Amino acid sequence: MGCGGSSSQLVIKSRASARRLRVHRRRTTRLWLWCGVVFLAVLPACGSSQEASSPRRNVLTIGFPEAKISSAETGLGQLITGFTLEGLTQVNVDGRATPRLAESWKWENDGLALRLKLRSGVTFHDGTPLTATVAAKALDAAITRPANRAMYPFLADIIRVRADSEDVVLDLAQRSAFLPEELELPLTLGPENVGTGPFRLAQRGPDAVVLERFDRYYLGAPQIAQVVIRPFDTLRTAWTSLLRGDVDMVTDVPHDAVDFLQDSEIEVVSFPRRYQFMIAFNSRRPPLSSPIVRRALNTAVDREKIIMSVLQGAGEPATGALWPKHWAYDATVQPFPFDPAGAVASLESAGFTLSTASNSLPPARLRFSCLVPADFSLLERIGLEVQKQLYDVGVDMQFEEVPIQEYDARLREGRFDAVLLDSISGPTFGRPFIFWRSAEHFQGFNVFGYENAETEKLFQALRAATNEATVRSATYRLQRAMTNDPPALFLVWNERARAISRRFRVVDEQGRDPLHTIWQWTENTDRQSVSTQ
Amino acid sequence: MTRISTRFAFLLAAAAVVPLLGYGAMSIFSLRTGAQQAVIDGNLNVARQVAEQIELYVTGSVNILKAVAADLQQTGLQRWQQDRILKNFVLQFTEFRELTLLDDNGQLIVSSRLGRPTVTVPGSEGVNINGVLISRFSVDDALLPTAVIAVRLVDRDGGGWLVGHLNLEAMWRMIDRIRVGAKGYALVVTNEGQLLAHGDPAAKSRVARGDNMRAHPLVAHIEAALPNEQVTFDQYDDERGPMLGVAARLPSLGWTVIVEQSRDEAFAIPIRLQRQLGIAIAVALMVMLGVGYFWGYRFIDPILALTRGTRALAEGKLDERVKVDSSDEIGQLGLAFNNMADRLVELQDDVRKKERQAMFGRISIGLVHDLSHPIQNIGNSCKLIVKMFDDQEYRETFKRTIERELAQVKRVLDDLRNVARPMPLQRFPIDINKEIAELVESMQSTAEKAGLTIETEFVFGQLFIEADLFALNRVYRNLIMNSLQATPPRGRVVVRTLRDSGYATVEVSDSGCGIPKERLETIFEDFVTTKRRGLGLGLAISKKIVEQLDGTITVSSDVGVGSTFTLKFPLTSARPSQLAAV
Repeated sequence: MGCGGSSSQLVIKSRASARRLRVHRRRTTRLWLWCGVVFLAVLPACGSSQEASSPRRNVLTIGFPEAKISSAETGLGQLITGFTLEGLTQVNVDGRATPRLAESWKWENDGLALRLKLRSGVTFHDGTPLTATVAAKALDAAITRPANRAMYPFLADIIRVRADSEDVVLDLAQRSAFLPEELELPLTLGPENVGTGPFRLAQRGPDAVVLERFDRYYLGAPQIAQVVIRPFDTLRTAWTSLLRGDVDMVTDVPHDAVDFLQDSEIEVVSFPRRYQFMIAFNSRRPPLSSPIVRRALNTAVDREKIIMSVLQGAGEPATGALWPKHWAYDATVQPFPFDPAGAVASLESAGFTLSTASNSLPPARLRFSCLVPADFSLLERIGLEVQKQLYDVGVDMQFEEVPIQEYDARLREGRFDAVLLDSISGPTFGRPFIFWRSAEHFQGFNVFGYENAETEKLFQALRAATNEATVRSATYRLQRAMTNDPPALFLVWNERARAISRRFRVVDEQGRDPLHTIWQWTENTDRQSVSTQ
Repeated sequence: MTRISTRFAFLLAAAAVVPLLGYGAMSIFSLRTGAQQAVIDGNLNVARQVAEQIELYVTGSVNILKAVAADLQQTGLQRWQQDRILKNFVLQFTEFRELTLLDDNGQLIVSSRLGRPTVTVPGSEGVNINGVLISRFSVDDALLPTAVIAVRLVDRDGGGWLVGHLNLEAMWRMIDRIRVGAKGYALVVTNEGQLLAHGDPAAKSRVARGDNMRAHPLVAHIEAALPNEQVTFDQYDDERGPMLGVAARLPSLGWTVIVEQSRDEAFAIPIRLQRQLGIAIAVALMVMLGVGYFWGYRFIDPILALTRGTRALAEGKLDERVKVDSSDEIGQLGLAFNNMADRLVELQDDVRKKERQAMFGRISIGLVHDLSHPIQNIGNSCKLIVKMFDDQEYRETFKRTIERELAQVKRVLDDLRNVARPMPLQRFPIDINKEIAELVESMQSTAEKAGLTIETEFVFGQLFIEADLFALNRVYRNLIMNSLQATPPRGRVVVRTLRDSGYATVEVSDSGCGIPKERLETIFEDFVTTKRRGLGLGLAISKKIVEQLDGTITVSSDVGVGSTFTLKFPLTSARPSQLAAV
């Protein structure tokens, strides 16, 4: 009987313990549930605060190699301009003007006036709305700047800029078919050069340029909140930073480094530049004043070989002065063939026979010197290749490497036989126009002394064209004229490559600089941010 | 006893399983080590070939420079010709960024460069390969490994140096293209530990940073290796996990080409093969065991059937037969067994018949013996009573005689009945010591008549067992009477009790004539006796009674010495209940 009584107590005790245990478990479960609810509630806030506090998120850092912010470095300036400023129009790859700040335009007064309808809802970075009056004033200021007039020669056709209701009207001295393309020049306000672009200049220091998102951008505020441009002394340091993840983009990638950089974390986007390598001749100086010589030189060069051996295939053979992707370009016009025998024959027929001036010089049919700017390694490689090919046909071209300042000066002063340069030549016809128009009528970038009456006439015809058919016809004839009398040894249209971290989703418009769509870039949240170290 | 199935299993194990397992283990080990070694050798080959390629590339470039130098020296070429040669070589051999001819004072003579040359003659830090000085390799702005190489010229106008700017882009691209598996890469490290090229896209930043790889296990390994050891390998862990690395040395430059691959990937095939082999061996083992079991079962089963049949026969189941269908010796054995069993049945029937006959004979003789005397006495008395009916005394004697003889007849008939159908016993706790003492006391007079004394040796204390007092006394009486009858005068009859591990033991010993050994085996059987008269049921009945009381009875005897009957009963803790005094 004693044993039975103690087991009852044990049962009672164990029941009580079980009850307490159940209560404890319920309380613990409730506690954990509450913790979970609180955690889930706080998690988004943590995420957003983490997002807000992270310095990397939504900030695009661009490494700009070989730039010095303290000096007015053209490349960097152009980069900043591209983010912050806009013109009334923008030019497509095919050379056509497309709307930007101007929504549309039409010719009036038999082509002597251009009426531009402004886009509504556009605001400058300082809050000034873009009205016809403001736009007219800004444009008027822009067209009077000498640099703009040199770069956009057809601005000279504008005699008056006026606001008319919501439109801006340009009264012209003469028909100017290329004027809409010229109106891509940036419109700015005030001495600070305030623009209407998707980003505005926030800070400019010795180590970085900071651009901030313009929230009232008329096409929609960019997803990227900030763009930081950091200069680097050398390409290597810029790439190292990119590979390390310190910068998100490097603006310039040489062709032989594309394979090195492109991987799962970095995308290299190539696009054709509007620049071509050429050896521009001083057409005033014999023997280069002879079209036969200049034509023969153009047929002595194997452009494909230059592309393959120097540019690793990143380029297209140049066919002349005109941008081959222009909408009016006629592809049926035969480009310069590679015909060294023909070149020799031409030179021989022009009286240029192989001779030896002295023992210290190679035998040659003709000799000339070519200026080349110092410290441009790509130009040097191209020059070497061209030099050898010309040598093979008996042309002795000797390079003279000079500092860039002397290079500019001698160019302007005409103290050269030929120059090796990387020159903008597209996408509009305005670019070749400024270089190859007759110096009798205009002094600007046309320092090479090229004079060809037919070419000049055709340029003017293009300028005054009122319809596409006229443009196409004039273009075709211009191509032929400049093939017969080439002002330069046109070599290669080259490409540029930009290396961009795949942290950003880039809107790639085939054939265009990806930076043109920077306001549409988004951060690629699908990808884990992985260091490339 | 070791069962035949066990022996068969051991045989199977010894003949097949153990060798298979041993073979399997050896195969797996050999496969694993061999396959791993093959992987290592393969990777080493890659590293060696890469090293050779780099060596060839560098020496090729050196030879090109020497060829240029040969074109330039002692040929009396004009400057413009030399200039043309240098430029042509630079264009032809893109590994040369620049070729410059310097005089003994380091002054420029001609250069492939359009502008000022950038190269100078390497100093003492350079290495000499086939008479060409090569500076330390470094990574240029295009992240390509470059170095300055120079060859001394001998000319009748003096000496001079042909200096070139060599870049190993081809080497770098080759390293970039090398893939071992999906995640195996190659890298090149200079003798100072600088990383020159790395095939892993994720590691390019290390090249850009100019990381030093001195701490890399393989770099340290190969540095520590003997000079004539050109290759080495190692397994190590890094941030990517366990890695297999092989290294090959470039003796001329002192560089190391390393090929790294994750161990999991490198040894995936050996591991997979090992697993497959293990599975195959396991499956083979299972199949073999199954087949062996099945075949062994078919082999052993008839033997086991024969064994069972033999046991059954031994247990008396003479109708047991074995079914063995095989047509071999075991089948014949089965047939012989069945025949033997049939014959046994016949023999048993014969024996039983004879035994029955013998038993009936014994019973008849015993009955005749035991009953004829009382019946004769009754008959004689009946004849006399007719004559002496009037004699009162005789009538009393007649009555006593009839009663006595009828009791004897009844005893004989009771014995017969008890043998056929033992009477139920009643169990009560009784003290053996007490009961035996009383019985011995009552039999002392009988003993004295035979010239004997019954001695007792009782264990101290009480010995309680559960028994039927009457039946148990009968047993004691039977045993003591037998001892008295077998023991000559002045012999000994001893009754002793013992306590032994929960049992009570009673021994009845005598110093009589003893019982022959051949009779000991059957002494407890029915109708077996050594006496001239009696049915021989006394010990049989005693044994039945003892066994009914959960006890045992045994006998040991030596002829001419005596016999001892031993009874064992389980002790009980129960005690007789005491009647309350009225």
